[in-house]
Formats: sequence, C-alpha cells, structure tokens
Amino acid sequence: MTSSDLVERLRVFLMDGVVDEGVVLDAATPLIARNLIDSLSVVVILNFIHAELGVEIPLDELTEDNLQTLSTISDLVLRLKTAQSPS
Amino acid sequence: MGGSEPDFDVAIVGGGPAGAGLGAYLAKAGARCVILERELFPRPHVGESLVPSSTRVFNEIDFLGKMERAKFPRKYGAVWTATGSSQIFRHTWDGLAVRSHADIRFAERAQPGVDRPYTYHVDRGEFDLLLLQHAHALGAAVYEGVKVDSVDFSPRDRAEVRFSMGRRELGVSAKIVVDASGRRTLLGNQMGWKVRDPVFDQYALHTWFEGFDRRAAAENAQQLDYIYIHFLPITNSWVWQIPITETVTSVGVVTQKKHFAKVRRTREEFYWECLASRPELLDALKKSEQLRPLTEEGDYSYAMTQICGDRLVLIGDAARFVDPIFSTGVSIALNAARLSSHDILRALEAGTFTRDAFRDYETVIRRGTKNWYELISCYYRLNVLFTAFILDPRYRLDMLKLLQGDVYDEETPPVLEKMKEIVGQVERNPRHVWHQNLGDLTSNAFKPAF
Repeated sequence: MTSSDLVERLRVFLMDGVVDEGVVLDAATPLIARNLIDSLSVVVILNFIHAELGVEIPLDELTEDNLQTLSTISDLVLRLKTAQSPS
Repeated sequence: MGGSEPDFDVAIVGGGPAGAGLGAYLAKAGARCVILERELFPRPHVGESLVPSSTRVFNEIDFLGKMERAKFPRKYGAVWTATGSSQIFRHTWDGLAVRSHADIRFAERAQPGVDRPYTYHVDRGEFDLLLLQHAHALGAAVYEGVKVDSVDFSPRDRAEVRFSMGRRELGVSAKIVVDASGRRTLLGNQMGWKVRDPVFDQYALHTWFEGFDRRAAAENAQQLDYIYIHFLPITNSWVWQIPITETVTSVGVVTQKKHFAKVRRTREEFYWECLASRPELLDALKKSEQLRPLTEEGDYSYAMTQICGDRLVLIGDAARFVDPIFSTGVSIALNAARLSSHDILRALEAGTFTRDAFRDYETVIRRGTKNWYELISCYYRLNVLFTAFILDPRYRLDMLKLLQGDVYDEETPPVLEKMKEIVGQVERNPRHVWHQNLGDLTSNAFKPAF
C-alpha cells in the first residue's frame, strides 16, 4: 500500500465519523492543533488501523508528532508495518 | 471462666454478605458459629450490583438456587458512557466499535467455576436477608439487633465479644472472632489498624427511582439490564445506574468529597446539579418518581495496617474499602468469606489461633485487593486508557477477566502491568496526545502502603 492510498483511506474514515460533520481534511490538515480529534477519537483511529490494516500501534507512539496530520499517521503506519511484517 | 469451652468456635460481627457468607461456609463444615448483627433485617444498603466471581461462592454454599428463585435482575454486562464529544461518534464503521460507549458482556470470556453468563443486581435489603437466613438454615446461630461494643482479647484461651441489651452488659466467647462489620470497621478501629487512604476520598449520594426509562442512556436494547457507569465532566466523578426490579432503578452520584464541600449546596442541589451535566439522564429522571430520600456514603477509602491478628480476622469492607466503580464490594466480601473459611477451619482443626494461622487468607485477599486498587487507580488516572483497553482486542479479554472479579490468582496480571507502563509513558511524555487527559491522581497511587 502506498502512502497516498493510506492517506486516502484514513481521510475517508475520519471524515465519515470521527471529525465533526462538514470538516474537510487533506493530508496536511493539522488534526491536533485544530482540535479536530480528541483523546477518545485516537482510540477509534487506533482500532481502525488495527482492524482494517492489520497494524498494531504501540500506545507510546501516540505522540502529537506522530498524529499531527494524516500524512504523519500514514508514515507511522507504514514504518510499523515494515517493522511488524514477518520478513 | 477458664476451663470451660468457649460458647462458640467462631463469633462473626456483622451479618452482611461477608459475615453471612462466612457463617454459611463454617456452618456447612460443622463449625459452631454465631453471627451478631446490629440491625433487624431487612434493611437498605448500598452496593447493589455484583460481579460474576460471586457465583462460585453461591455454588459452594448451595445458595445459587435461592438466588435464582428470588428473581433478581440478571446482569449480563456493563456499559461505560462518556460525556460530551459524542458528535465524533456519529457512525458505526463496519464491524468496529466506534461509539462513545465502551461495553463488556460477561459471556465473552468463559470463567472457570462460573456456570452462567450473568450475575445479579440486587435489592440489598432482600439479598442480605436471604443470605443471612441461608447461613442460619445451614446451622449458624444468628443474633439480630445486637450491637457489639468491643472484643476482649485478653483471656488466654478465648476472645470475649461484648454487647449490651438495655442496661445489661452481655457477652459471648469464641475461639476466633471475625470482624465483618462493614464500613463501621469495629475491630480495625479498636486495634488502631485503620489508615485513611490519602489518594481516594470519594463520596456518594444515591436513591431509587420508579419508572426511570432505561432507554434514555442505552444505545442497544439488549443492554437495558446492564449496569451503566456514566462519566461526569468533573474529576473522578460518575453516576451509577443499576436495575433493582423491572421498574425500579438505583441512581448514585460518586464524586470527590472536596467537590461537594466546595460548592456549599445542599445534598439535593448537588446531586441534581451533577446529573444536569448529562441532560439525557436528567430528563428521564425528572419524568420518574424518586422513591426514597437521598442517602449519603462518606468515610470512603481506607485500609488496615493488618487484617489478621491472634484470634482475629477482618473480612469484606471491615478490612478495606477503596471505591465502588467496578461493583466489587459484595464479590470481595464473599471471596473473603470463602478464603478466610479455609484458614479458620484449619485453625480450629489444629487448635492454633495466632495471626500466622490466617496467613494464606491475608496473602491472597491482599493480592486481589491490590489488583483491584491498581485497576481503579489506572481508571481514574487515565480514563481514556481504560476505554482503549476495553476496545482493543489485544487487551479486552484480560480486562474482562478482572471485571468478572478474577483478581486473586496472579501476583500482578500482565494487563495491569501494561496499563501501568503506559500510564508511566504518558506521564513522562508531555507530547503524548493523552498527557493532558491525566486525572488528578498522582502516580504514587500505584504504591499503596498496605
């Protein structure tokens, strides 16, 4: 999965039920700085990534740097996916 | 009075679930025991929701059939609801629990020794009476309306339990005395063992409502008879919603004492003000009928420097009370009865009654309450982490094990270690997205001194 595919899947997921209705996201929208996600939505995103993408995010990776935009979340997922893949 | 046999093998102070449970175990095993209860049952009592580890005890003392016949509401699970920010959970994503509710169903995890996927919500007046009558039917002597004043441990070969009736000072003697006096903590006070818990200082106001529409807070019609824990937007504060009968619901507000002390309102004003922060609840409550005046529970949260001594064992709330958040009170009382009965029967057999004789009970019950204590600490310290663990398939079943009341068999369950580790990471890292969600509790909550 490429980074842009991943950003798109996350974007659709977040816009469909996580951020407020009507908020439009792109890869660089500042999610935390603009208070678009809160502590509980982080749990929801985490479970989406685990269930849909098969990637487990250790909870100590939930930093503002890693979660600030869809692009940084996607980087995090791809980095962990590489680290967690059996090869 | 030396020479003669003591009146009883065991005298139990208090006829609540701890005392009556122990009386049942001991009488069933043929020990001569007496239960001394201050009140005349039935009497109202807080602590109405059970966890499934109680079922093992009911089975062992042949009480499960009576529980079933009493038709108490069955409790299949629990739901925790959050305040505010519900707009972030508008949809349910395919197969994912994307909601403002975290819920568990006991049936998700098979529990050794527990043969049914539910436990009970109980009217404690009725439940405590049934259990006390059961202990009596098994052979325990029961004295009601007897308020024990003190216990004299000075005789060499017995303990003398003292109480008064009118102007007469009376007493019974026993080889072992068990304090099951609940939050009165009769013997913890007498021995000077009681220590207030500096971390938790919780306070509760509660009453019953007739005709409260439980659908007001439920998302799922299958969960109307669950216990609901509604978070309030005040530190460490929440509301319990417990079905008592088909139409009666117990609703209690738990908060830190300092919140109540600060606002200088009447109890009624404070209670309704807390509920007003959850408009959907308030609405439904206003449409129902309050059946009893508000009852308050203070003096929460204490421990004992020791819970056993020579000829003396403390069980249930008389040994410790932390916080009612996970409905553990009756379960701890019953399991303390179960565990202590083994040591007590062995001590009677061996004829040795020093503190050492009760060491197994002390070790296991302290381990269990330590695990509860740590779970409760994590819950208040970083509430979102509790929700995250419940919703996370990696941790869900291990969390469920704790919530079912199976907390006694591991020194520290790995899932609790993991929670504490993450709390530590979040505390140390100001850039962690949950750092600002840390609650008031300090991290030394993990180092209880007892």
